[in-house]
Amino acid sequence: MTESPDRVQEVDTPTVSAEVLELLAGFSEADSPERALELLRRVLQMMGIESAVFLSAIKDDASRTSIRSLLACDPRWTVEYSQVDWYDHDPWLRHAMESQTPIRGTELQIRPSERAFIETASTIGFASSLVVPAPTSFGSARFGVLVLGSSDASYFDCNGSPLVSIAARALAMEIHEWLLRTVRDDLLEVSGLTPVEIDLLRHEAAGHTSKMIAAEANVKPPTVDGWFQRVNAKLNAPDRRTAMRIARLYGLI
Amino acid sequence: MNEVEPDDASNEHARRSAIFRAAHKRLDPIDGPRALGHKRSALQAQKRRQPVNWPVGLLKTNGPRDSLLVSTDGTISFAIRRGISGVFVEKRCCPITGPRSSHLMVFESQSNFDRWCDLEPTRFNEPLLCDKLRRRGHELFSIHD
Repeated sequence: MTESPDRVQEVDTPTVSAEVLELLAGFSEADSPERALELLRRVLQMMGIESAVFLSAIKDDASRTSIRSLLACDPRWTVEYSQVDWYDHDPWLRHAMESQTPIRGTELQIRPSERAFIETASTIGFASSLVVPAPTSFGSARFGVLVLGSSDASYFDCNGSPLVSIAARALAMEIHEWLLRTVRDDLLEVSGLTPVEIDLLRHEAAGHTSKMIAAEANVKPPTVDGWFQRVNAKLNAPDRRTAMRIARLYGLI
Repeated sequence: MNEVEPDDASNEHARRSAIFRAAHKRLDPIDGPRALGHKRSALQAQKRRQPVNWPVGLLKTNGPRDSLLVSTDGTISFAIRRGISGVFVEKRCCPITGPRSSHLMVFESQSNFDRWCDLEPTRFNEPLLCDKLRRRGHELFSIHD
């Protein structure tokens, strides 16, 4: 049986249904990365979108960034991505750092150093793309980006439904929220920070000095400094301010 | 006329400077991490050369059939485990300098997994690691099927 042209058109258009929204709600209950990735794949399937990648970047300190990604696309993407230091030449990440507006891949201002990225991405399922930033209140220190892709070069240019963009935005924010919750829990587990130490970091965030904290806790200031040294060691931070920054970035305080 | 006692005055001064400091710290943008001085940067770099247990990965490998395969220098690792929809692989790169990364993907079929293993650049520097990864993947696919 052959499909009518109308039917083919229907299948080739990204769609947003109530089921998609129900699936999005599932991210808040996803208890593992496998579950989150499966949810992402199901949402894409329901929307009729071929591939997607979600990237989250956290600037841990001046010289170090952590990038985490969920891939629902050709796995060659990770090979290419890690092979040529794409982090520095990724126009999707750059767009997410500079803007919070979803944009089609064709609308991106591509720099000469980013051309190789775009050319390679187009061969692995991102010939046409929709770049959806997932911003946070921490600006370029913590942000995410969801990129939806298709091997059809005109897919997102022809199917520019605002509903797709809205659903993609919701999807990006849900994944980002899930991911931040996961990394926060992991950091808590690995560092072994106690509630008292987290309170100490809250004091630091409020700008309280050792003397002020010591007066409140009825101890001497050097004792407070000692507490901070332990916290710094647990968070692998050179000083208490960096420790507080890490705690804020990872949502501990 | 109320005269301010010297003790009160110094307390008031301390309080005001603390408030100023607090406000100043709050205004300090978080997205501009402080650049460390020369000495401190060197110390940090030295620290980084030591293995650090920093959680960049997402996939948990606590189960009996899960594996975490680590390269000889510890900079690259693969976490692999079986899930409902296939075999999940997470590639983690934690080089001494530069960004740390983790990429989580799922393979529904062994042929896709093999194709990816054939392309994975780690096979040149760490052939044994890649071989182990491939064998582990095959084991998990056979359990899955």
